Amino acid sequence: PVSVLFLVLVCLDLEYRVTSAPICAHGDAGCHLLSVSDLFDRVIQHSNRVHSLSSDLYSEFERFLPVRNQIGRATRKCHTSRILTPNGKENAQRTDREELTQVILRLLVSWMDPLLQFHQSVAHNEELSKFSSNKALELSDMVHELKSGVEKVAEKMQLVGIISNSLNGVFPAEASLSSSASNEARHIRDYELLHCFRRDSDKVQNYLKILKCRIVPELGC
Amino acid sequence: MSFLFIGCQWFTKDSLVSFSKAFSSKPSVLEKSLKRTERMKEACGAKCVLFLLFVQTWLVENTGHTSPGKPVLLRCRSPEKETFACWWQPGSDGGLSTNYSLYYTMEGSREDAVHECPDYKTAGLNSCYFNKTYTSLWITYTISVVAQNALGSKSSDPMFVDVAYIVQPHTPENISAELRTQDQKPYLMVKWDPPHKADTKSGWITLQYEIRLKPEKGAEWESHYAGQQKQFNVFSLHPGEVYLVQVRCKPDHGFWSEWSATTYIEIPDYFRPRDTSVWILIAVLSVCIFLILAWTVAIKCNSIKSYLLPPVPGPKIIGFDTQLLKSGKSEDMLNALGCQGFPPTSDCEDLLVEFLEVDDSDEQKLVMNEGEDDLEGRVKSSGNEVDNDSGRGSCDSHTLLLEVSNSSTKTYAQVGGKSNNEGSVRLSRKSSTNGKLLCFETAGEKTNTWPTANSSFLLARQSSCHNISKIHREACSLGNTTDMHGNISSAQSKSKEYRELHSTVSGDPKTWFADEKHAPLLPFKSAEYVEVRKLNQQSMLILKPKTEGGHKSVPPEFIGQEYTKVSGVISDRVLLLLRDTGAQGSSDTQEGKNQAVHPSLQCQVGKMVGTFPASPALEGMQLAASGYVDTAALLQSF
Repeated sequence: PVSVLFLVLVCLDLEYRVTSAPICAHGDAGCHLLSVSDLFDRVIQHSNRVHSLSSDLYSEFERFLPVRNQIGRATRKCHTSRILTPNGKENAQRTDREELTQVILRLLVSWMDPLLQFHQSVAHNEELSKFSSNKALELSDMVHELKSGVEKVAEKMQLVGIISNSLNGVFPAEASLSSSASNEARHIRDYELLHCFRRDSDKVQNYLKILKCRIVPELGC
Repeated sequence: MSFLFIGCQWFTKDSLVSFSKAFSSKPSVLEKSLKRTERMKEACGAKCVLFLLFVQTWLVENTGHTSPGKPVLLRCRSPEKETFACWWQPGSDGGLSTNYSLYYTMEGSREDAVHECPDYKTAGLNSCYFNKTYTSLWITYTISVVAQNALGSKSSDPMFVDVAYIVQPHTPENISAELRTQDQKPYLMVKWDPPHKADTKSGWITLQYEIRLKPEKGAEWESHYAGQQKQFNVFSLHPGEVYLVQVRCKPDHGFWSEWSATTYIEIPDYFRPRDTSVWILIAVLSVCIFLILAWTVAIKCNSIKSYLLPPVPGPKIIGFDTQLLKSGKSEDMLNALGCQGFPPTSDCEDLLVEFLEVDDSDEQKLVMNEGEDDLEGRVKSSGNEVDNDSGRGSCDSHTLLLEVSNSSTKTYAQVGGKSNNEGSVRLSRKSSTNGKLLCFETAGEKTNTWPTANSSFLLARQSSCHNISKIHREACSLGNTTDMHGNISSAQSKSKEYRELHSTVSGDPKTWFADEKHAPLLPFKSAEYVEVRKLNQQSMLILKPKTEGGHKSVPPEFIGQEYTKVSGVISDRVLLLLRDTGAQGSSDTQEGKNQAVHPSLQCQVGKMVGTFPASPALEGMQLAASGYVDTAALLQSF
């Protein structure tokens, strides 16, 4: 009798076992859209965080460095300049989803290595605070997460059929890594890197929002 | 003068030429010119120089023309991240008509690809407007303004602009404030739209909003951050005031817009939270008052109760078992009383000869037995109620006993043993300001004194009727023991019984005593003894009043050798007493049983109720055919 009771309990337990299941089962089109929207919200939040981190670090570097030659700012080139990105609203809206997604992924992939090196550079910099070093590390990690998040969104969209499967392999833009000996040169290099990255993170955030409001326009646009 | 003038002019010209030539970095010419100027200097001298300077300033004053001052670029702003405009502040114009032109270069283009502003008009004076075709995001513009007039030109410091970071939207539009209520509390629901030019639908711009409001006569604004939502609820409003509401917005990273136009909304006065609070206050106060009254009543409960419903005392007879009485087996009961063969035989006769000593001293002085200690019990005193219900009968009448209300005298009637070999039962009564104590002490046959036992007799407040059987039992047992005196412990153990005894007696010993005020009614003012003569064969407890000489306040009851005897018990509550005259008895009522606190042992067979006056002055006596005496009536007559 005890064993029978035990069996019954086990069966009951099996019945009422809590499992994590997706909100929507496969095959339901409306449900797929909903989860895509959630994914978008998540990556947009991520990109927001990335951009705010980069802005903070940029301000710190700007304050920290000596008064620079302003003209030099404008002429510096970022290593991602080669990537063609829409630079206006009409241009962005004219760009199709696949290409936009591709651009986003390309940008993110291009920045993964340089940010790692940036963090190492900042970590070795005694003049900067520990706070900055932590931020740099967080920045590098978040970019990794953001990239994987966007990849998931792209997969989901391809699964659902929002975008075609024409996403080629993402070729990152190679960054020219100049190792500078002096502190000042390193500072300048990091500052310019931040300048470029801040801009690119803003691009990514903007493109993601455009994509989201184009694909799932009802919620929050 | 003119020769000098010409000569100096030539000289200055030459010097100027030479100087300019010098600046063209040709050293040999410089040497030559230097030599020449030295010669000229010798020629003209100081006068010439002075004259030259004078001429120059005169020229300037008359014409006022200089090259323009340096303009300053103030700011560049984009309202919707699609176009932007820049404004500058001109410097001094140098007196001549100066025109300003704005030049910009774009990052990524060639260094020398300088463009000029496409539109100077749209954005107003001293402005440059870039429409969509000229606006590119995420590109650094290098902008500068050049002021130029006939005499020269001046360029401003360059400004580096990335259009994505200079967004300052227009103010929000269509602000509406609506008054709503929630749980009878008013709140304001403010709604608005984003500026129509900012494209939030496509996700190009994301705006955050801030709302602020203040009462019309208020001094400071109250700001609330509303996030990205387009409505906001404002609580904490003051009724009867006009509120001003404003909204502004900001993109993700950009500048706050201006505050929108003020929206006025009036909060009507009919929301009255004050009334509610007043009512709540009143309710709370009344609840508090009620609680205080209830508490007071609870504290004084007992005294109020005794005031309103005085307890009815009952007889305290040791060894009296009410249960046996109820069962109706008189034999068993009598046996329980500790004596065989009730009515008592001669065996217990000596034990039954008990004395009821009633001691009533005026001065709070106990009628002390030798070594007797104070009895510390208290008896509740009731008011000076007179029992109007004469039908109640002797036992249940609460006026049967003396009432001492608020008397300061300590009187007590001790029922205790004295040096009475016969074992006296002393009815002790001790009263304080609050009430009376009715203590019963029974002594054994051979007891002389009863100090220890007395001391341990503590009566409960509401002592109930005695158990006569117990009394008898004790009396018998005590009589058998000779170690009454010194053994406190045994006395205490016995005292428990006595306490029980006492407790079983009606807690209203006032029924034993008449009111002191009715002086003649106080039968126990002096130590009186009531001798319990016998329990005769008629199951009667014969009480014999035993008076001591010299007590004037002896109530009439105790005058003489009269005694009453218990003729019977009616339904457990009533003790029937017979007068010695024989014709009268007491009729009892069942009145006394209303006292829940006092068990209904008031008048049971064998219990001593008290003494009854045998004087013929008992006018109120109801002489029933059965020979009962209504002691209540008796007492009333006094």
